[in-house]
Amino acid sequence: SERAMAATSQEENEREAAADTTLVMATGYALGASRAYPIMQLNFKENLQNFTGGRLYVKLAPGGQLGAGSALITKVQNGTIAIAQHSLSNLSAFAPEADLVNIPYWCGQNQRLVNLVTSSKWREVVHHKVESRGFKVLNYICIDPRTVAVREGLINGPVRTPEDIQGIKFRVPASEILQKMYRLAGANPTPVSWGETSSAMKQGVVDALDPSVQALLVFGFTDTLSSISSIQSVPDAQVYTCNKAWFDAQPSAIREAILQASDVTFRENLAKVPAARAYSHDQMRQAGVSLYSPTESELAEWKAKCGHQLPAWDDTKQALAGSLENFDHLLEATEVSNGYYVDSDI
Amino acid sequence: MEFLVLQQAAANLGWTFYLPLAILISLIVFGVPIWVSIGLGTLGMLSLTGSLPLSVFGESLFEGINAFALIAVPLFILTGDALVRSGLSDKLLDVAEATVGGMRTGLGSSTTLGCGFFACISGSDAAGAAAVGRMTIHRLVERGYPLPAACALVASGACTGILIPPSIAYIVMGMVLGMSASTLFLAAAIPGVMVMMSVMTTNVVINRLHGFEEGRAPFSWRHWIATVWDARWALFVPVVILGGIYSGLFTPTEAASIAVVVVVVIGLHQKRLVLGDIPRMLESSARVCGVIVPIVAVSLPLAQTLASLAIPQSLVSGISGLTDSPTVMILLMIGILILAGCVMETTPNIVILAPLLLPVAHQAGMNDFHFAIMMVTTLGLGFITPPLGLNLFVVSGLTRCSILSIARYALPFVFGMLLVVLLIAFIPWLSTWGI
Amino acid sequence: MATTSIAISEKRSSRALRLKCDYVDRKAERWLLLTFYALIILTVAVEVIRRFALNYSSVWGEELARYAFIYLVWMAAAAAVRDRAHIRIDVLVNLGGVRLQRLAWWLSDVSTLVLAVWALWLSLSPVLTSLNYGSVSPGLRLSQAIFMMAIPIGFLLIAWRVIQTMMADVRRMRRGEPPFEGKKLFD
Ligand code: NA
Ligand code: NA
Repeated sequence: SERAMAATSQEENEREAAADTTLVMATGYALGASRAYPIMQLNFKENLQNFTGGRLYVKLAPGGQLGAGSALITKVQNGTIAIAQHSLSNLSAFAPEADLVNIPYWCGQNQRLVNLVTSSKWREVVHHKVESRGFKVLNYICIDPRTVAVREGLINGPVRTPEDIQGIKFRVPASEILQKMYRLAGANPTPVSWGETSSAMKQGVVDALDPSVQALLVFGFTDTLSSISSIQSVPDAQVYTCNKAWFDAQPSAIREAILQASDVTFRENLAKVPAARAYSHDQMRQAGVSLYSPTESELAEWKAKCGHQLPAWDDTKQALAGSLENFDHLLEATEVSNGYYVDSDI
Repeated sequence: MEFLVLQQAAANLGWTFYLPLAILISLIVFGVPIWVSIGLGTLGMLSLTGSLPLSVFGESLFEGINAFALIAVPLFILTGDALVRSGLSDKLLDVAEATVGGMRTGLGSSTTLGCGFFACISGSDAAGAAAVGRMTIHRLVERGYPLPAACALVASGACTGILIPPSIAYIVMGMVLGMSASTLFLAAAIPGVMVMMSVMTTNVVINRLHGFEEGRAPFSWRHWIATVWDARWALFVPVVILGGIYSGLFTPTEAASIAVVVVVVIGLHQKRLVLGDIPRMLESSARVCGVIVPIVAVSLPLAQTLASLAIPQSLVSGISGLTDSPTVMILLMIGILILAGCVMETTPNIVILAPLLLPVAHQAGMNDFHFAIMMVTTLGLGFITPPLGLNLFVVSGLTRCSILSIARYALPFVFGMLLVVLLIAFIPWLSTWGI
Repeated sequence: MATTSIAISEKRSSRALRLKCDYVDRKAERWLLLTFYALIILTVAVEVIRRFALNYSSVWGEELARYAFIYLVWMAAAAAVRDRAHIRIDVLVNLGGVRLQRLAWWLSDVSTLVLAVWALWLSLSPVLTSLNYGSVSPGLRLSQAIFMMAIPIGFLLIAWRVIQTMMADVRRMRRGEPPFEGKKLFD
């Protein structure tokens, strides 16, 4: 293995020396994470290098080395780094429409999300605004929808319907929409910073949280949870963005190649979704966490309680999309395939 | 392991790395404030190696400390100060003295136990050293301790501030490595108490050899019960803090804020504290915070620069090339941590070294919690080792006694604590029983 | 004769003015520190109480506490520069005489000034980017630039405090006094 390492290391050195441009790509996930959480950073690096014929060399800064989430967005915006990964909702600081994805039950399912973000309507509205803020969206990373994951000793059996989470303290990120969603569902939404969440779940400061199974696994929630229910409400997706000025400064052939590499990586991600899901579900089960897929009628109860069709969401839709009509256009877009398939069968 | 290599081609470190490193060290040696030295060293390293753009530095000064967990730093410093000004710390010391004062080295032991009680409420070191020092050093000297020996005892006992939960160090460790701070607190309980016991024992041994204190106060249950009753409010505070954390009322960081509020309210209620005291209390704590956190803020871009130069990978491959034996690896880590503790404050040491050494710990077969406890305990020695030992600074500031003379008397305590570090390193159960 | 007395009275009034300014800036600094400190404690404590008693907590409380903390840190760092309270290793320097100590303080002040100006410059660009693109904070939905300004403001204060202490040292040297040794962490 030492020889293999030396060989890889030498190859990397040669590639870096041969490239015209070296760029830094930062993510919040460790390099080995893609097995459980298909963030695809190694594939993306490889694709960017190969599609540009070796003219780009990608230096990875994985595992939150340069920060995560909004810290990475700042760095991309300032041009400190060229490319970074962050969550889809992070885009809402620039394009309010991106926050629409947090309204439950219209794009939570994988295929609906993929249809939406590949639609011309979405690109027209969101990408345009994001670009005016100095970013370019390169590709999306589909993981699986958010869940309801409850801590050990809270209830007997998994969460099946909204009845089961009445009044429990549900951890939410600093998002008004998610707060509203869990309040509609009957829970008591409790904002807790991500860094404190592990402690908070362990000691019962909060009772439940909502990341995808894959995220719960890579962040080590295995020994805190008793069960996870896939209620398929809201997507837990990621996105790679790059600094627009940097992108625009590249020769056109390189720009083409970057877009191609981005698209190919997106497709690789979509193909990887079921495998990563199978792995993380298996790991969770082995750790003694029970996984539950609600039945059609149970899902209907969730939807009835907090879904996007409720008039309660009208003001949110209006505020973020400009009008209910605009939202309906986006909703239509979730139904139409644009040639990107992803497994949604959780 | 291939991942490590792929992350970055192996580092070819040349003068562009070593020159700024040398500048950083020389600035520290010539008495330039630590945070300034690290800042300039990092800027030099960034400009010369070009491994990351300089703008990383400007962003880190904001983003690097934009973490909720770090709020624990000012809050726990304030808790310590509030304990003193509200008079609760005197009560804790009284209980300590009533409990072990009757033993042969009674005053020394009760000083140490007082530090331990203080540590159950406060999450930082400096305030404990200042509080206990102010009240006990002159009494220790009256009893027969040479001044620097009394200072050394207090400085060493106060190391428990971050080693006995609650603790800033474990909150920051949890933040840096993505671990649950409340679980770290639990894991640290036995090791923290062990350190306190080692300070007490070392002092007993020193007294056997040098006979600093001879006489003993008689022990009486009646007196003990009266003292404990008198200190009931002070003893109630740790129950609120730790009880609140483990019953799910608040997170470890929030606990720091609750602790401040509880101590201030008790102080006001007992009429030991008046509202007018609060601004001065906040001001002096703010000064400590303004001294500690900038070091953390500039350490983060340094850690990022080192990571982008693939130093962690070089370290892992360097150490695993040197030896296959987990025992030797662990000893090497302890050596690195002792050295780091000599020259740098704990919090920045955690920020820089935890991600650097964690892969080595994994290689040596340690689990994350075991590693975290070993690391913080070893760094805890740094509070009483020169040239930079925060507790030495504090007691020297109180007494105008020279740092080097205190450090000389602190040496036996360092060895005593080192023994605890070795026990923790090689008996994982001590730190993993509660997990 | 007349000119000297005018010069002296001018010197006196400028000294009085300086003392007055110093009084104002110490007081302003003190109030700002108190405000930020109190804001941190109260926000965190109130959120805990609200979550516990009212089953409701805000999405912006944690954020407010964080930003108040960042302001507190850099303002307090500037105050510590004025007090010469920053942690430094003076064991070696103290082995030498007053001249070495004076040299060390001079090196330390110049280094601090260089860092402050450099950091001030580097921290302006994120603020400008944020203003330029109108980014808002996730919870409070206020311009991110308001919070990011903590860094340039802090380093401006630090630079100013260093210049003040350097000038004070020059005055002490002229009077033949040793350099100001700084306040201790706990007095
Ligand atoms: Na403590
Ligand atoms: Na030290």
